[in-house]
Amino acid sequence: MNDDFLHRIRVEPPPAFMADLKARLDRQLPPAAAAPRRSLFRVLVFGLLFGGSVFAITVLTVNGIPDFARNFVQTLHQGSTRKGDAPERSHAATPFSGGNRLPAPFASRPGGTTESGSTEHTGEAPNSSRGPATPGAANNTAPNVQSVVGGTSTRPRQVLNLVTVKNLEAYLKSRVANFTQPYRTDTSVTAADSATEALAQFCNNPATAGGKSGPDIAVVPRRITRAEFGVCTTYIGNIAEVQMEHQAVVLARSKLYGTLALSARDLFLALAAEIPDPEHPGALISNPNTTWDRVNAALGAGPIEVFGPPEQSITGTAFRETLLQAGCDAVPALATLSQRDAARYQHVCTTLRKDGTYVEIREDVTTDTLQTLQSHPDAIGVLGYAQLRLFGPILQNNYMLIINPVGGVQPTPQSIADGTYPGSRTLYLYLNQRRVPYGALNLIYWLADTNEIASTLSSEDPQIKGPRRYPGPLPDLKL
Amino acid sequence: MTGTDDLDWDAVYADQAPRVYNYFRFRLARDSDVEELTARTFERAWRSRAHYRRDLAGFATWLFKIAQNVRLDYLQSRRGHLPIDAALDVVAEGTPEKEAERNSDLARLRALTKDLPDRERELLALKYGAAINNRLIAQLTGLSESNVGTILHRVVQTLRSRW
Repeated sequence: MNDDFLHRIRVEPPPAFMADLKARLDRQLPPAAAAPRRSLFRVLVFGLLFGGSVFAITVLTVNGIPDFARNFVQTLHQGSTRKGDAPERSHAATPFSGGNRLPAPFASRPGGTTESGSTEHTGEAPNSSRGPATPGAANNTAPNVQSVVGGTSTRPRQVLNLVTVKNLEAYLKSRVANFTQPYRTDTSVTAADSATEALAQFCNNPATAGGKSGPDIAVVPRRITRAEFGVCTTYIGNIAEVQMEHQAVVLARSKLYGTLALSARDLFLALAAEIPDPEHPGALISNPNTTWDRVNAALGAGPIEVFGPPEQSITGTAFRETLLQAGCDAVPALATLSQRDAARYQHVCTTLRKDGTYVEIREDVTTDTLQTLQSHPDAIGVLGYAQLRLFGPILQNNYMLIINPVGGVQPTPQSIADGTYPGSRTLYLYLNQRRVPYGALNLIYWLADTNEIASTLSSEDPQIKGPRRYPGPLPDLKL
Repeated sequence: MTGTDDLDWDAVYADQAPRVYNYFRFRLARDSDVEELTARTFERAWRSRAHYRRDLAGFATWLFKIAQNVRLDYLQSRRGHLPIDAALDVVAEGTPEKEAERNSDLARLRALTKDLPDRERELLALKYGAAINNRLIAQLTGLSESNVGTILHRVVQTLRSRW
């Protein structure tokens, strides 16, 4: 391949720039300064584990199983059987690869939590024949075990409070549940009705809240406004901002009939439960549209049939709050309502019709989902970007599906990252910099896959204090 | 496994800095941005180098992932302003300096690739700006190695016919 003309374009960087940058880098920490400490730490940990194991085996071999150990196992067995859901929440079941992101000592939570502790000990239960697991023995030793466990604690467990919006509560709880804190810290997730309220709680004035501080972290589906930022800095000082992740919903359709030139407005008028009455634009009516040409004459007379995730699911919520909301905002007849009754406007904008036009399917994309779309070539499928991407080459080779653009914009990594694709949004995470509880940075590292916040906590930005970090590039979605 | 203990950081810098610099030249419009983003990439990498894990990725893969993130940060921070490519069009008109720049190979490449999908431009920047091999490009873009080769071949043929 003759590509010399492209190779010729490369140049050497200006020497002055190279020298200046090198000097700046040399002024940072000496190379790999942290690595030896980590290595030493690991050596110590592994040494202690190995030494402890040898000691325990030796003691067991020489003296047999001591009574206190036997009783300890028995008591744990008693405790674990009270927690019915524990076995389903093992660490092995975590859907994230984040186990690799944390150092080895962080892999289990000291002191244990409901999930991790009970899961591990439930695993011990079937082997209780190794010790005399009599109920009487367990009852007699329970107080001693309590004191042993309590005695290892040198300070009380701390609770890391995270506030979010209702629609993200379940999602964040699932993310947090799969995170094991390296410190004696638990994470509590509470939900506000809206991003505005969540940020108001986060930025609350301790003086007017009876001295009670707000949550340590807020995760919201929009960026803080300048006015909210002003309130926040007044009451709680500097805050740090991290872009946690992008969310995007994708419309897919059979290749048989090709794509529809849909806009967000078309989607709203096709799928909202209530739309403005064409004859009396000030009034709302139940959505009567059954064919696309009723929504937009340019779309043809095909039936409106949409398969999508349950309304309250994470993908369903993202669909309603991005595409449907954008479409609603584009309907001039609803502008008056937005001024007059914001809550009602929000309800109208984000409520899907329930007359069978929007057919709920499983949120997680499966081969059944894709086959359904293929066998309904008229239909549109609403799917999560990340989940659809998991199918990768299978989609290309086995399914006659095509991604449907919205407003002429295809959901590409670029259009999702820069927000031009209307079916995308970004989750923002805010941290109170003045009060950074231990464990908070690890949690952020887990949620947002960044540790930059730790090293740039005091950085300045003209608009907002703290770092702004954007998720890495998304892989292309190919159908 | 951090894998940074035996790295010669001076050699790493000497080898990788020109690659990162040229990657940004291929992807951005203004030289001042190129230097700024190159510096940001290395500062970020240097700050986090204790966390680099050789068992998860090669050093170049890790560094270029950072470079890609830095570029996305940059694009996002310019949201609300003219997009970079549009800015290029605006500033490239008028002055003799810009006229000269337009006539350069790089300006010609920018003009020819302006309408290419982002993925193709990214592949060109990684291949001919960063001068890295197809295997590494595949790791960075999520494409298969053969797919990278195929796309690049097609794009280069098209460019050569218009050059």
